[in-house]
Amino acid sequence: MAEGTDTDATDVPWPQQLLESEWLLAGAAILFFTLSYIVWGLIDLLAIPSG
Amino acid sequence: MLDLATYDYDDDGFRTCGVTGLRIHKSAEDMVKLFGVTSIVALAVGGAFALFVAMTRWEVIGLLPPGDFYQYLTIHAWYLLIFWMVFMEIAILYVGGPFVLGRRLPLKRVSGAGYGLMVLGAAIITWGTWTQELPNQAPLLTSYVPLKSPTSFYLGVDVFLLGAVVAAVPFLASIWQEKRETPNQALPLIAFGAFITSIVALEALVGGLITYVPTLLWRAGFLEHLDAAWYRQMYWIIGHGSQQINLLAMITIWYFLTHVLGGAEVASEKVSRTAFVLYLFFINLGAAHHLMSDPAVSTGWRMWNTSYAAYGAVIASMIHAFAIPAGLEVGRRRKNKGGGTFGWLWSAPWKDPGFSATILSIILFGFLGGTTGVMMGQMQLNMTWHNTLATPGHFHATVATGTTLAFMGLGYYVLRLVFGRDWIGGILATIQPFLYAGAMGLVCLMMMYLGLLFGVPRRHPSVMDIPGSAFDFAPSKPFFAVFGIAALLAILGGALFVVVAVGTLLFGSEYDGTLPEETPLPDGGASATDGPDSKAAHAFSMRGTFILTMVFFLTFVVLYALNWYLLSQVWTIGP
Amino acid sequence: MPGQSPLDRPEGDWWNTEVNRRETLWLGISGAWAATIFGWMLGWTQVGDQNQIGPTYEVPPEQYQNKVQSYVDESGTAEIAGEEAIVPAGEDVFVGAFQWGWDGLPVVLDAGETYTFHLGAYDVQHGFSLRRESNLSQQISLQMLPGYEWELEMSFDDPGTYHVVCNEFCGTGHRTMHGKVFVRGD
Repeated sequence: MAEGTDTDATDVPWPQQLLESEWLLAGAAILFFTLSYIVWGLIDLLAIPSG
Repeated sequence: MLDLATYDYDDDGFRTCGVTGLRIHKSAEDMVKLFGVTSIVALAVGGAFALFVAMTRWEVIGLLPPGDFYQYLTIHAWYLLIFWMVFMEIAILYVGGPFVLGRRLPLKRVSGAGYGLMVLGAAIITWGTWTQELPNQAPLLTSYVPLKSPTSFYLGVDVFLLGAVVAAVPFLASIWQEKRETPNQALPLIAFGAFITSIVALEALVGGLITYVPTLLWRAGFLEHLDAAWYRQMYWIIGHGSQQINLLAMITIWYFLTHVLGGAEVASEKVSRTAFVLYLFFINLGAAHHLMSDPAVSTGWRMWNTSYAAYGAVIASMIHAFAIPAGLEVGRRRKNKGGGTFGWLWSAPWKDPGFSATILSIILFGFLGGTTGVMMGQMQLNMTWHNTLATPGHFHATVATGTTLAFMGLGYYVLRLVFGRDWIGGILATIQPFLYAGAMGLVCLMMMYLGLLFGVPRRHPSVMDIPGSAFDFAPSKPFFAVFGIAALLAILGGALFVVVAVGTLLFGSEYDGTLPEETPLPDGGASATDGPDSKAAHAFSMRGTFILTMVFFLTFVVLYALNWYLLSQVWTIGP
Repeated sequence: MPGQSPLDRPEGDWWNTEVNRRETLWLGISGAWAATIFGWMLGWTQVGDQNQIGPTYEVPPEQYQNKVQSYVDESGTAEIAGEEAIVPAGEDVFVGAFQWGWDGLPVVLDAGETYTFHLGAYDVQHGFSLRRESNLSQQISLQMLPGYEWELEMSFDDPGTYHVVCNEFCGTGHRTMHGKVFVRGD
């Protein structure tokens, strides 16, 4: 099992840096889910008129 | 705790696995054993109840009286869709994190507390369901408000969900520690997959708590009213989200077992990791699938969410569908087990139930489970699938073949490599995955056929005899017969796994810790040399994988077209 | 072994590694398929005949039950195959699901006419599952929620008897819920 080498932040292209920023990705994903699924749906429900 | 192993640990509590090379700490290993064995107990219970459910729906047998059907169905569903899955998934997190990273399991007592809460929650759910009386109704899996179930049931769910969240914390802590210690270092792909699994799980579990805590308050009388549409929208975050945990865990296992047992390598870190990130962002939006034929939520919300943001997550699935066989093809070609277009596949260790279960999982999940999920999730197509028997047909394909087979495969190797026991029963272990996969696959096909082409409803004990009506679904009887027989064989196949697993734990001889040598094929693939001139993965041929995925793609296209054709034959609905 | 193991940490810049030609092609196929099925679903709302799109109103269950009752009172009746069926006065067809039956059914409609179905439940969630007796594959299911009234246009080209069952578990009498929609030909 090879030990990975430590790379300087400057060597690594930004997409790789992004994919190695797990907590940032997790936070962004949770925020996206909350807005796209929960908040938008809630807005839909609140907008239903009385019949 | 559970010292059934034959392994010794060094003074720091570590040992090195002779097969995977992983450096494993006792703290993690203890909990993997605990959660893993518990999940298999849940499988056994849920599987036993499957017998009652299937033999009731096959009305020729009509095992249960209609009143009892819903109770048994509830137990069957909770023990298989939730307990078998989630206990195993905590074990998978501990493997994907601490095992793969060679770390201790931090906060071991928190893990124990999580386990205790999960068991307590499961016990309360079981007791509440089993002892229910009118005016309470069986909760099934969905406990749709405002149909009332026992108050204890909702409490049990809250305790279980909380326990699962607590049990996930030590995994997250292990990732946190790893990243803090080596900040510019990427996680191994499997640890990355496990991390994505954990976040998808947290979304689902927290969504479940947001759903079930108010529901408990409502049922207990503290909240006067709970909106049915809001409940549905929120419930399905845990309802479908829990199944997306299954998807992520299963895929992580596919990478793991194809590597350990078949010699797979990573075809492209970039492509596989990007696919995992697509899942991270989009997969839980699919909870919207259950609201396609609902009032209340808007068309825009439905289409955007059901499509996982314009099918971003479907792209991810299709990526893994290629990347995993490709990794196997490349890895085996490099080891001179290639031989032509498919030699790498035929030469693989098919007698090894860990391997065969993994490949069968991939095939059945892909062809039966994944395709149908995408189709029934399309807003309009959903009308022909919604609440028919085709719906459980779909999720038996994804969960009962796909995820369950993957977990069985992993289970075989937890027995060997964590418990240090070799499988009892000789050829039984070899045939078990094939028996189970074939039979359960047929069960799924029958359920889908019954639901789509006869409109047979799900959650119904008596479609051949509707009280007060001459109408029935009699034309579908032959398909129920095939379903019934296949179900019996599938349950037998599942029972066989439990028997082998428990028998191995109790009576298995010591496993000597090596995999059998495979014989290289005479004209195996491209030459592979160690050292700086060795070929990168992308330089190896992936033509076998490409053919397989194209077959899959064409199947998908044909099924898609057939489904839309079927819908087009329905009368006119909508503006 | 030189191959990258999924158990090992990748070293250095792994982003700029080339991707296999066939894998790249597959990525393109996947993207195109995703766009195709998304576009198809969207497009069907414009060119397809089956879209469960219609306005929803918040209506308390008792109020909805009154609406259905008013509609029944204003409707005619006809005897079809020994059953007394409702003949709607206009294009509105009200259906109220309850534990355990279908208010407003049986109903008799004319083939080719466009009706506005009103779907709602009086107590708990129910499932409106409708199929044509002579071709069980012609079937759809829609959800009915207490507190909501869903208006959905429907028109039936094929005359015959259509059967309604409830396919959302609603308690002990769930399996007894059966109703009919008769569609008269020209």
